[in-house]
Amino acid sequence: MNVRGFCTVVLICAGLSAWAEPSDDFLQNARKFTLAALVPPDPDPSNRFSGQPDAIAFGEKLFFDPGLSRSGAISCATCHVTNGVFQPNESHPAATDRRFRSVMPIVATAYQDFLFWDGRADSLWAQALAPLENPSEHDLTRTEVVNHVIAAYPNHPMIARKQSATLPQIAASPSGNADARKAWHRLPVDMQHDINHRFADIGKVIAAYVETLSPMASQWDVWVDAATDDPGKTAAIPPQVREGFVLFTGKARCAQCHAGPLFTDFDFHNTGLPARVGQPPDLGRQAGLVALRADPFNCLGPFSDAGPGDCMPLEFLNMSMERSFGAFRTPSLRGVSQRSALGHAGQVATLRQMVMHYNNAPASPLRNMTSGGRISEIVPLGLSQSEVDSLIAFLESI
Amino acid sequence: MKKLLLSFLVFIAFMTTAQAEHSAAHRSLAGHLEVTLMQDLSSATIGDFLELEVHIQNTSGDNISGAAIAVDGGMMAHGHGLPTRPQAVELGEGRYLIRGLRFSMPGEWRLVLDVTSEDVQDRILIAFVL
Repeated sequence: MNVRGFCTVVLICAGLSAWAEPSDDFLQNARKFTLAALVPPDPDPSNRFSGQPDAIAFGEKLFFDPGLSRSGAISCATCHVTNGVFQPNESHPAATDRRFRSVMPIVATAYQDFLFWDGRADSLWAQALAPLENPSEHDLTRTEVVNHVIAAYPNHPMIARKQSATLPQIAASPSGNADARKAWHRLPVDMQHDINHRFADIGKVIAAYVETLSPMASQWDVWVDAATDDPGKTAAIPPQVREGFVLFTGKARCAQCHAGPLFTDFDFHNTGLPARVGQPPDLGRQAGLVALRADPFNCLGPFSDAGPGDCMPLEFLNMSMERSFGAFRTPSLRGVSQRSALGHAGQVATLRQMVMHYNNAPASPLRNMTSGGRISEIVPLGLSQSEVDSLIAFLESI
Repeated sequence: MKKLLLSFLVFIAFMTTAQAEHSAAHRSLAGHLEVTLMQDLSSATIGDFLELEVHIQNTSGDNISGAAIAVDGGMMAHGHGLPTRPQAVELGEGRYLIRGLRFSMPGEWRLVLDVTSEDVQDRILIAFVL
């Protein structure tokens, strides 16, 4: 057999073997990271209003309603809309309770099983309820939330229930200050339950609206879409951006967690980010898991509309400390260059600083709280200055 | 050249066989059990819940019934475990269904099955790449 024959056999064998490497097709790979690869989210089985047009319209009113706050000046939009765009808005700094967590993006959150940086809510409606009662945010009690909606939207069929005429005009909440908690516990149990139902329904209509918020096409989407239609237009994507994408999905290991069209695996990871200066260590997902299991508004709770088998993420929740200690949500990177604060605590000021954190992979600040072993998942990347520049150029395009 | 070609073909045959075993049947660490996966884990869709049926026999080919199976695993390269806490239920005739499996990211994963029955206790390690 001559060399050509040998090579032919090798190629045939290689083609037949299952371990042959796929070809590295830039466009084919890039397409997986564009909105073209995004399928619509499934309706939320725990929310009977999910996908209903009337609920979506009502939810939009509540989302922009500043009457849902003690000051009369704070709505959901206050912290989730910047200059008319659904981007986190940190211009209204919260007080103590939220001071070391930054605002999360809410676009495309309908794809997430768990919400908040620590995943302590397992639906958008459960998430939407928490800020309403948070003293650092909307600062209302549960009865005040329900009474405001009943008064501002009288007899709305999605909120009205049998006891609507008898709701007490008091400030009562099971999670408020001492006075609010006392007032709550003086209420009859059936009234507490009715208030909780209405409160949950308010969260559900807000969630029905938030579910509809889809990401806008980025420059990256536009470039890749055009190149998909006409491969000759691949050249229109700046070489630095193309190199950045190759690094993002290769040497820089970003895509291992920031995967797919939304640039997230929807999971939680400890990447060794420091706490904000002057703040205590943040246990992240570990504390979030405890809160999630105890939340009466979770998928398995009495106010959920889910049926049997609908709550698999909660049913099969991994409570291990090893996996959750100091872990935080992998945020979507869409629009990341437009955010004023990066990291779960807003502790990183610029995209370059964040990339250098991953490039250097410092030890986790939580390492002294454990008996050993790896805490942070990341390892040094060895990116050159030029490669860092390319990675940032790509991140600025998505 | 003929020796080289023969060696190459033997290598290919070995790799193909090894991979077939890797994706289907697994011998436990102490060698007491043979576990067959009814699904190729490397074809799992990232992020989706997965139900995995396994068939467990001893080395004589007898079905293992009434076993308790603890499911664990994770990603060695990332130093973390599984994103979920899967549970196994017995279907009968040595077959078990593992529910609640979910793999959240691409890379090298390990699944660990600790099998405890009346007669045997052993561990199965399954390594795969998504």
